[in-house]
Amino acid sequence: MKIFQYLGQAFWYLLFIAFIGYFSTSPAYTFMEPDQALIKLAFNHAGKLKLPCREFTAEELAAKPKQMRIKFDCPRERSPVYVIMKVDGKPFFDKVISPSGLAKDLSSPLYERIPLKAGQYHLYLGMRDHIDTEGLDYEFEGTITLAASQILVIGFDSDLKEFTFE
Amino acid sequence: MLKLFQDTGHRAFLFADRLANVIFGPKWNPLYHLGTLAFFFFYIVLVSGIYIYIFYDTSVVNAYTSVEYMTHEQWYLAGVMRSLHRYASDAMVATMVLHLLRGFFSGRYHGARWFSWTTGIPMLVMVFAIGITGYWLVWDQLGQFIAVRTSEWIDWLPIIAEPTARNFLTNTSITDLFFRLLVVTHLGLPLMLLGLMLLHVTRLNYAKINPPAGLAIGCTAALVVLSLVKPAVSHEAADLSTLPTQLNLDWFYLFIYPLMDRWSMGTVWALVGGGLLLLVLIPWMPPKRREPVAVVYADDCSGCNLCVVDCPYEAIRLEARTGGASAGRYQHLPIAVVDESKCVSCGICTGSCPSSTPFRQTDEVRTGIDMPHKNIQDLHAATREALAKLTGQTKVLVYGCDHGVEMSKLMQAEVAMISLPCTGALPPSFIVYALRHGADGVFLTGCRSGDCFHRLGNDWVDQRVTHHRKPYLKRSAPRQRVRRYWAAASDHKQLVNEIESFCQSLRDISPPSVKAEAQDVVPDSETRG
Repeated sequence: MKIFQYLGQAFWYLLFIAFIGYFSTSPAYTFMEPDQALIKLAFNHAGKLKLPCREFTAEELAAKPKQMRIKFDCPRERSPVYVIMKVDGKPFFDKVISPSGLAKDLSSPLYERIPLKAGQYHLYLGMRDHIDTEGLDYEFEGTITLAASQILVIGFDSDLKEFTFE
Repeated sequence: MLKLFQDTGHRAFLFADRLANVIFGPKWNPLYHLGTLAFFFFYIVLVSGIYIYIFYDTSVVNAYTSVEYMTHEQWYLAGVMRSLHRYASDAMVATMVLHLLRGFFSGRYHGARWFSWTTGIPMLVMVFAIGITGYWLVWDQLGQFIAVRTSEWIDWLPIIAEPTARNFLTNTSITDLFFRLLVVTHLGLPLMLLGLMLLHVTRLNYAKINPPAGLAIGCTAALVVLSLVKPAVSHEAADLSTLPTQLNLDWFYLFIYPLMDRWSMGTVWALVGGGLLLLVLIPWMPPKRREPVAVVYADDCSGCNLCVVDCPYEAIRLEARTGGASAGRYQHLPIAVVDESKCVSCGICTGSCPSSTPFRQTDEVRTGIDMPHKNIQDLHAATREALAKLTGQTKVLVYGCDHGVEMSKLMQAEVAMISLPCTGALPPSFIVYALRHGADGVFLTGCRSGDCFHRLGNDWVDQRVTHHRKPYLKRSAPRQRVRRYWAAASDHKQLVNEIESFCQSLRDISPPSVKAEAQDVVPDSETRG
């Protein structure tokens, strides 16, 4: 009788390690197909100030306490940034990105994953600093080649005012 | 619907318990030690973690190579430790989830038991956080996948101004400092988890925190075998310019990540947040009227401390009598005080009170501590009524509990039943009382041994009957006329067979040796146990 108990225990432990051993790595998960590539459109760009500075009128200045009488009123709020991306002429991404911060006075962060099949594409990128203006302030147009499993990071250098590719 | 779900789950556990009882015996049944096994696996994770930390390099560049060194160069020790670290973590999740399911299916979370249930939920969250950061630290393709997807998941929340996923854009964007912060998190969270583990068992008297030695040795040996047969290995080194494609996910910890790919991040947040909220609220769903808690009667409480040591939920303590509580012959002794927030109304304290005796000079049966809704007088009346109903050749009185086999299913001419909230609520003096007042035998039943709904009830009964715990069953009570058989709600057939076998054994022996010639009064010294 005891021997059957020991055998039963051995079988129980075998089941236990089989369960743990299997599900600790299996079944395999396919995150992306092998012929896929990924574009990460990611940058942090500050839009222009939403409203220009304006001079306080004499009446407005008089209404203020003496220590607060500065000449100009410069609202901190920044404009949302508009970004567009076209691949082979088709729009893939078209978005207005709001500035962060409670007073909306910080930069507009962008992080977008765009999966594509590996291959060669004609890419168009455009960005506008101010939502209320016409046209695009920054543009890129060119051909890119994406290898299988490649991650292409497209950023924007706010100092050089150009799109970057890594 | 919920009841059906719970009943089905409960029956599945009872079925598995029966099988495991045959293989391991109730003492070593792993399904009765799911909580302690989770604790034990945590200890293995801690010890193995400390060892592999010695060889682990906390820089981004060398983290992967240091893990590879452990896995391949020092496979015989560091490699085994790494595998143990992983597999014990997985086993911990598995046992925790089973422990939670068992508690849910058997309904062991209502009333004052909410505390143990609710403190378990943050533990679950913390274990997942520790596991996920652990996979991150290997900094292979799986770590890369987890890092990026976790960041993207967190970034979905509108509280984060700048996307954290931008930290993982390129191989140069991740810094050693960030990595070390992750290491500190992975080391610090287990310390917090230890604190939560202590809190989890705070309200339990005689809390089991270690599994039986044999079971612990068996589990450790099994994990070592697994570590040798299938060592834990890494994926390719992380490279943020390349997409991980095929991943060998640890499904115990990482099952949520495929959901992020199938559904939106918001849906996954709703699932996780909603699921956790639901788990936390389960003890109050649906709201139930709480049963009255134990009441101490100052005139009959001698401050003997037995109820304090027997209460499975640490709900009773002794205090000096105040003016209002001073009474009669016990006024110089301390008095038991019930903490209402901890009492689950199991009545075990009544069973442990030496004053709970039906042998009184007066008609009124009193005790030092009692349940208002099912008091000692009700038990006395039920016992007398049951004895009066017995008409068969052999008269057996069965004391059972509300969580074992349904008592009404056992009714027959030779057998009368009385159900208590817990069999541990039965004062041993009632066994003697039944034998002196017409019963040929007394049969004690309740939940299966090792699986008492109120944790310790059947253990206390066993020890009281075998003279290992006060209040003792009097030695004058013939042991062949008292039988114990611990049976779950699904063990109806086995219980009926056992009662029939008991009846047969009573027929085979002479009439009861306990006679009514002994005075139906217990001296004070005996009452105090």
